[in-house]
Amino acid sequence: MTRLTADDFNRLYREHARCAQGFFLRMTGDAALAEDLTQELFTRLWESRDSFDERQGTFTTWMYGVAYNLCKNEYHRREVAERALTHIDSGDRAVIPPAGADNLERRDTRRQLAEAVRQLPDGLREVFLLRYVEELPIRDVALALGIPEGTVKSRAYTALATMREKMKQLNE
Amino acid sequence: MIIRNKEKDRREEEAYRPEALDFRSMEADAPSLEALEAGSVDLLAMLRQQRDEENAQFAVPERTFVEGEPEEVPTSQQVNKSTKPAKLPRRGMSPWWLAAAVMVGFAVGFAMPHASDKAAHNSVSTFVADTLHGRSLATGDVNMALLVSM
Repeated sequence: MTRLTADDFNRLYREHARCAQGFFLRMTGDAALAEDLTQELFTRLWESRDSFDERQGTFTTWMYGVAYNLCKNEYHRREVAERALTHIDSGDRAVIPPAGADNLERRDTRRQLAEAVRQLPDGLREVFLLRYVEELPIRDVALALGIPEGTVKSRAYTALATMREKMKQLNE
Repeated sequence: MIIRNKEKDRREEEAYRPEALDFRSMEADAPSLEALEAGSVDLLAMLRQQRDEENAQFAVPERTFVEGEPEEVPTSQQVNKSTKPAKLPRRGMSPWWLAAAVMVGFAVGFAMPHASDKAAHNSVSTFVADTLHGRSLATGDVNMALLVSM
């Protein structure tokens, strides 16, 4: 087992901190909370770096596994799930619209997309985000969430089918 | 008394027969996960574009992790292993520092040319001068001015 050095870890922080923050944002719907959770995540990873084993999975898998546990803790502690849904109505503080002529239309689509993801039930949402937004392989999603690969596949199927249906309804 | 509608029951049973539902044909119609993913290219592309745009906007603070920073919080088992109480930090002033502070005080008093109490100034000056010249009260060479001022 190769121990992560400070240099390795600093490089990994620079490479993955934004992805982790994005994952937290999409899971919680709260930009400030996402920032806090990102810093807490990397503090935890740094403190437990000796437990990281490359043979059991990549750094990304390990990172998202710990990130998911942080989200779960946060859900239990603050009941963020409800806040995430109300946050959608309060505007898109978290989602900064891009510059461009079709800004309004795109912004609307993005909001609808973000809303559809956040309305996915617990269990489906994290699978959908890890598999289709963070682009992790099925095996890594299973490792990160601690569930069998078959369960990941069935949840991914249901989540994707639900998302397609929602987007279809929105476009009609 | 429950009056059962036999005709209704029969129709319901008919409707829920496995052959009536034809699960196999439904499964055959449902695309596989791979096929569903392949058919969702636009949706997935839009999600990933949104992800990239959002991630690019994040201001992640600069942070440097250094070896030797506080690591894992010890577990209760690890804490219970050690029964020896932790060494408390020393509080208060060392005797050497105290002696040095007293000497500095004397020196400052001796050097002050405009002391408000001239007699006290003289007595302290004499005492310090005597002490510095090797004559102490212990030798019996008592400075009367000092005693009077006290």
